[in-house]
Amino acid sequence: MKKTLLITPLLLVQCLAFGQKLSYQQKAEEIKKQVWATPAPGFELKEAPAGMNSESAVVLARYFDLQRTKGSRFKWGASGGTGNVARTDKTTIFRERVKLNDKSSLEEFSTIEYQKRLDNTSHFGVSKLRNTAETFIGIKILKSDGKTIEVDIDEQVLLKDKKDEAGKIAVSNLSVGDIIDYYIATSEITEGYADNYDDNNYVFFLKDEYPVLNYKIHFRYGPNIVVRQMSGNGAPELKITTNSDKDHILTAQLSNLPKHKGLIWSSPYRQFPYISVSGTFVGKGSTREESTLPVVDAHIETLKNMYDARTGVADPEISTKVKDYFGGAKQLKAVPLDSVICKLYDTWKHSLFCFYDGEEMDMSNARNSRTAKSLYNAAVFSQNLIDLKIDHDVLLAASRFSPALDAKKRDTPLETFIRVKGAKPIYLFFNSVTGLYNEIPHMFLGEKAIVLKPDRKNKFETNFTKSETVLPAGSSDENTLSEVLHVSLLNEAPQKVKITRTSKQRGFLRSDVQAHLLLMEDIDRELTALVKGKPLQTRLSKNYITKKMVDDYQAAFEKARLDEKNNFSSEIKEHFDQEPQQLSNYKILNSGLKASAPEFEYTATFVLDNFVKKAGNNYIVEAGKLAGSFLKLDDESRTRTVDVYMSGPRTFQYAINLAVPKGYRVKGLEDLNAEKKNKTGAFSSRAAVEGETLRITISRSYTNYFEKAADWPLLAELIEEGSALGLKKVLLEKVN
Amino acid sequence: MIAFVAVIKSFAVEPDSSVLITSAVTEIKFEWNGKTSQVKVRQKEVLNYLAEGYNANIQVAEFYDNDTEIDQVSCTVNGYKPLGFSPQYSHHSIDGIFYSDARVCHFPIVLKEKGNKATSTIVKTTEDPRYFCNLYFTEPYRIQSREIRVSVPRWMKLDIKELNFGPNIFKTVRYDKRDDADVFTYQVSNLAPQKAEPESPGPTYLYPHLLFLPKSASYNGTSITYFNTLADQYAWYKAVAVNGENREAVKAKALELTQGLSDDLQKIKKIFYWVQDNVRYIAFEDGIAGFRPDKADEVLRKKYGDCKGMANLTKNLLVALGFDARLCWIGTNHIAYDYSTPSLAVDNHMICAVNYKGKQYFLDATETYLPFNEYAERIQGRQVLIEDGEKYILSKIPATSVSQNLDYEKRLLNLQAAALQGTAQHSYKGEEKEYMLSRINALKKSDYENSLMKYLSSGEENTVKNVTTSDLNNYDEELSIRYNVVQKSGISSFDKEYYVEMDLRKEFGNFQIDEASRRHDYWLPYKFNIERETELKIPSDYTVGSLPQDLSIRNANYEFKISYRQEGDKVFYKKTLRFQNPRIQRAQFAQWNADIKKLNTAYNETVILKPKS
Repeated sequence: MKKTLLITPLLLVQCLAFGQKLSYQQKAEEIKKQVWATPAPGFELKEAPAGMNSESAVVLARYFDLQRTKGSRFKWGASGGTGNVARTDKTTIFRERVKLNDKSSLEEFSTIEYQKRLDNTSHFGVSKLRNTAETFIGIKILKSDGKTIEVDIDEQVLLKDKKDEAGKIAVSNLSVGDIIDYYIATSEITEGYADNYDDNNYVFFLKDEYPVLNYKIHFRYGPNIVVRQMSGNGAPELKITTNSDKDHILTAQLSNLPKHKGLIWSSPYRQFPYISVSGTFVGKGSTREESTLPVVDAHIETLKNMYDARTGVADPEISTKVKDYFGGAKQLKAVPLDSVICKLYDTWKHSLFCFYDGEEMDMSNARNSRTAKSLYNAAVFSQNLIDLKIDHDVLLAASRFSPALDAKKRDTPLETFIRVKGAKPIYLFFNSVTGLYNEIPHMFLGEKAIVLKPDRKNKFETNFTKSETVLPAGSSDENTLSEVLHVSLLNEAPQKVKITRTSKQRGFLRSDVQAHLLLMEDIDRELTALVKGKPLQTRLSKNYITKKMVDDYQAAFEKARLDEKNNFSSEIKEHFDQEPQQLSNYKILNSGLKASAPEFEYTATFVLDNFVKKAGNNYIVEAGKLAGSFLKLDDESRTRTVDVYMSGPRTFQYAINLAVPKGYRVKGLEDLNAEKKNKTGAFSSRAAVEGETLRITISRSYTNYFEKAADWPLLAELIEEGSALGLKKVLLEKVN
Repeated sequence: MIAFVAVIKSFAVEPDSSVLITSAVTEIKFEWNGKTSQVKVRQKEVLNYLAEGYNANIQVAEFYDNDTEIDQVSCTVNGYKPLGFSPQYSHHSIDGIFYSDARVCHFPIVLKEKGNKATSTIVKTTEDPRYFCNLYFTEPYRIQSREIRVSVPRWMKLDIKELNFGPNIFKTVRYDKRDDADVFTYQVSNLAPQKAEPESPGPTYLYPHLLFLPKSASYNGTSITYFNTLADQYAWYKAVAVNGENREAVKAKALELTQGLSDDLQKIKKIFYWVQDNVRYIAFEDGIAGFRPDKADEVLRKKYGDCKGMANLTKNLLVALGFDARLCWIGTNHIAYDYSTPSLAVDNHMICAVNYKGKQYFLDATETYLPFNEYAERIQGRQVLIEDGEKYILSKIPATSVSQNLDYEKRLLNLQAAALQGTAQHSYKGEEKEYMLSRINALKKSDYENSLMKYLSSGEENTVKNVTTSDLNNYDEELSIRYNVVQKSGISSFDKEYYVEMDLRKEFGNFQIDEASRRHDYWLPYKFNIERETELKIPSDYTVGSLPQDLSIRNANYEFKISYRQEGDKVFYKKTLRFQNPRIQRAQFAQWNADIKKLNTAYNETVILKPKS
């Protein structure tokens, strides 16, 4: 049995990857024989354990196998010349045996769609670079009477488009109560393409939509491929061995994986067990040692190269512009450090986000979701700081929603940013157009960071002194949403309310809505003014592609402005869970793009339904809902055994001013008063009638970005206070 | 079975409104194909585009399939062929169809500058005029002027039916001596673009188009009859439907399923429900195979099939038991045509009919949860072509009334501890039941209980317990659900007075139709028939302060009624929302919105209970 296990994958590789003379059909037959004959844990099971009948489906066994080898071949005319090109052969097999207990899972497994063949081979004269993939499938059904039926794969239908052939099969004779056992095997051959870890990364979360009883993962990499692997959050370590061909073999055998259940405020990479494996080819020009560097060290190496004049990314444009802004290098020296840094940062943003290449003409708010490459931009910015002799560090950190920086064998990319040393440290992140000077994005708050102090020896060599730090955790008063609402019952239809809402948002709470509402034209105007930049028309005219496109850009901006009302409308709908009517006076009062005015502020007037109920001559107002919708915990969510990962510390404040109609008085105020405070945050609500206005003030804050599971009841208390308030009403009682 | 129902040019993205088609010319020629001794149809379409804005993005698409070929595609932008011009030919996926032979030739044109012009030319051939069914005047873009020329040789008999024509379409007819053909020329100006909207009628109702009805051809001594009459179309269907069946396997299954049953009606139902429940609907559409039902024994073996296969299996199972079961062809209400215009575009569906004791019952097993002798809105009242040996029977599916459907809920509530507590019961019939059962069966077994309770509670703050249902696998009976409920929403208390909302579901309360932007009629999926009753027991120390006003809206299409009454120590609430006609026409939108506003206003009223002292 053991022998078979070792030999079978090799045979499969030969068949999948190297048996090129075989027809597709012959290969399919060979693979079928091999897969069905390959033993793996659980594939012999003919029933799910008692007690699992209430599950929609149970995965009795799952098997994933990947084999990857790399070689090189001489090619005439490859990439315009001649030489050796690298060739990668990769095969994967995914097999699963699933007991179907209901129509929902029957529907899910009743069809399989796959890319049967794909040929993206490039031709260069007499030579070519292969890029092909073939997929083979097999399906068996174990009926409840014990009979096994093999599905005829020729029942598939094919969607052929030249070198692209997709297959679809409706699984015949499949019913609720059956066990389906199927595999999907893929063989890929690529020549001459760059290789890296990220494109070859496989992550297996050890939680699934259905319970998984047996799970085997198997990787085999050729000797010239280096492998990164990690087992996070308590996942078992992969067993690593080498065979006689010096191939790297990685295996994991798992059992009884639980069913995954959606959970609010969680970070799967920090909480749920997972296995991650990736591999890359060690080519000429790089050593095995370089390629096997841990991610952090590889990141530092790349950074170092970026400071080398021969391979680097130095671009003095930012500092040159800032010198010009302040009237020259001499005058710059007199400017306070924070002002210089702020201007450098604004200039960087302007240079990157207000650059137009003549290709991308979509000026809608989708443009605001573009992100910068932090490593590249931090390296460029840092070299400008070195030129200006400004003391700073380059820092590396991991997002709270990715594996921790110090996770063993961490294999995912890091964020690069800068800390300028001064009376107080100034943090500069290079990500979005809405990011601000000295603002740490929420996912890095409180995270560990690697500090790299650059020491430029000469234009070819910069050394980095390495240390560690912890980023500030932030506080709930740095990330705030503050809204003022003036509400009145419509005279002509008192069951509708007219609302004038002004919302101010700062810190990370503003970013999403800012990106949704700000128009590129306004961003450009504001950032240009901030850096005393050239008008858009002048900038466009300096580029040979865009110089004739001034009108095109103007038209694109105008087109985007046509969506402005819809943007406001959808934001209101998101907040109040209904489409606003009679939307008017919508405008942005402050863009929040300036460090000196970091609040994003906007206003709009609109009418909403369903907030007022008529009760005889009186009206009941859903006062709590005027603050928008509150999170509601269901019974299952009230208890929690895993820690809580939130976006960040934050505060929400609402000042609701409801005009009491003449001849009416307010009842039920006392129910709107609530207060709750604990170490995880606070909630308060106050209501009072002042003159002809009912004033309700609501404040809700969360102290931290993270809480231990043990403190979930405290957080839940605050959440429940909010959801209770959301149900509170007041009565406007007719008095005469 | 949908390929020949108007494939209009639709896109995944909204067509660019800055594109104008300044002129479009389509030439249709019916020609004799000497190689196949058949008539073929050549279509040449030249569209001239103008960019009225910058970066106008045009998606040119022409559909074809196994029976049509794209012969030529060309494009110019400002008079020149675009660099790297390369039309793509790919499969066209159609929502709800697992596989079809529909393909699309497509390419983008980008007009960077305002005033840029482009021309696309596409020539395609349809090898059999039966497959050349209709031609639309509209495009996804506005059209300034369009001309369609149809050249019909006099050796061919062809009717052209003009549909949805407005006053802006002009027709002239001339005789072309050289081709010995009549040339029908249609000219139209200022056509609005096609607009895809949810829940709208099918395109054959919406846009001006020509329906081609090839009757016959007689060329150099060769005569061919196409669909001269409906009998010809039926004969063609019968011919392609011939498919060797393994009757033994089917008979064995029929006998197995009905073992122990003596009542014939019970046997028919048993067969119908078994096919509904055990054969998965998976739609295939593949050229002539799109009209050929899969063999009954194959459908039985595979346990999946499209409408044709499911109809054929139902028929053969019933025939095996000695019943008079027939195949039927039918066009659902997505299609504006009927069999008065024999054409492959007339129908898109197949069902089975069984004649039992002189009554024709129609069995559509694709409607998974609809009981025997009840019919889905999409086929109700539609013409149906029933096989009858060498002849056919043209009949109609019964147009059942709204009372076939019912979504009924009754709550008996007491006021206790500032909440409304009591019991609730639901009954579902017809398409309301089908909708509910399809939702229940889509739930994962493990989530079923929680999800059903969430739905029934109609509010996160309400709780539902002790849910019992009737047999969810018995489609023949009403679906009933009973449970205990504690309602915390919909009740408020101020100064010892209680304000109670008697109805938390508030169906259609926010169903305003945007009159400004909606262009097409709105078709509800079926005739809704919603009844709600709430019986509230007044606490002994309370009395009714006020009851909201009743609401009564009634017209030929729908009826909204809400009533409140007090009898003894109870308040009774009753609501009826009944749609005799599920089609809301555009001309009725204003009235609809006004009525919905009244309904919503009524929903937002409460009963007041006051303490007696």
